[in-house]
Amino acid sequence: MPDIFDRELAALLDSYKVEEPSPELMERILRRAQPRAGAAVIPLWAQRQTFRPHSAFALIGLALLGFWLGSASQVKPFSVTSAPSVSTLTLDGVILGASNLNEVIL
Amino acid sequence: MARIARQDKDAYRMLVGRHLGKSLKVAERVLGNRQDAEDVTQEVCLKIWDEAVRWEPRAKFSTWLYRVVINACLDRRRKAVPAAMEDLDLLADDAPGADEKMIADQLSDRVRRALQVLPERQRIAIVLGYYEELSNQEAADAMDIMLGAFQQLLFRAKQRLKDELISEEREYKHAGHL
Repeated sequence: MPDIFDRELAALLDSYKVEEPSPELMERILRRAQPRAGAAVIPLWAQRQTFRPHSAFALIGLALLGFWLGSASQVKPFSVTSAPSVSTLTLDGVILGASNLNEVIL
Repeated sequence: MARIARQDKDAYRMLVGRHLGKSLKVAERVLGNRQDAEDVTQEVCLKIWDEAVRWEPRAKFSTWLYRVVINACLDRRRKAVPAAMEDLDLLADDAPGADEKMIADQLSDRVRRALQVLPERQRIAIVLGYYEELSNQEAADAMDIMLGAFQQLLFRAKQRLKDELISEEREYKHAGHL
């Protein structure tokens, strides 16, 4: 019994009796607790998923990342069989700006 | 709760059996009416069944349960104020009784009426702090208020109950001796 209640008040409060629940109440509650429709086929982990703002942001972020990665993978593959143009890719073109080595010698 | 989430009726029966009496007593003392208290308790127990899949153990189950019961009582009371007042008026019409049981019942009714006169939060503070014997911190958690606020409520409730009950009791005894 908490200290703050003096004996006189405590005795009065104790006189207020409340009966225990009847067995009928218990049975009524158990009878009304019916299986939830579809709950058996939904796994527990799925039932626990509830909408939360941070989950939505994470999903949007993942979608954007996926889109970006998808776009980046659209770069045309380099083919070793196709010869690059001389002016852009040969050693002399890059260093000296000439279209071929003969021009440099001349 | 995990078992109840999987619709295990045995687990549900066990949990309800363990907490039904406590929930009903809290509801009856807060509402001052047995029928409403049974309705509220039934509603709360069915909520446990329906919401078990979303249960997250952030607090002790009993603390959570007290909070749900109290909120359900407050909702009930807000919806049915005229009926509750009518019941109180009927209860106020005490008839004098001779045997001990009658006297005990009358005293019980007087305390019930005195509790119902208290502001809701003070009444809840008495129910949790005195009848349920929760610590001040547990009761404050159940009411979702700060510890200091709970202590204030309990102090005021106690003062008011003393005014209502003890002074009335002394007047009654004094009149009986005359």
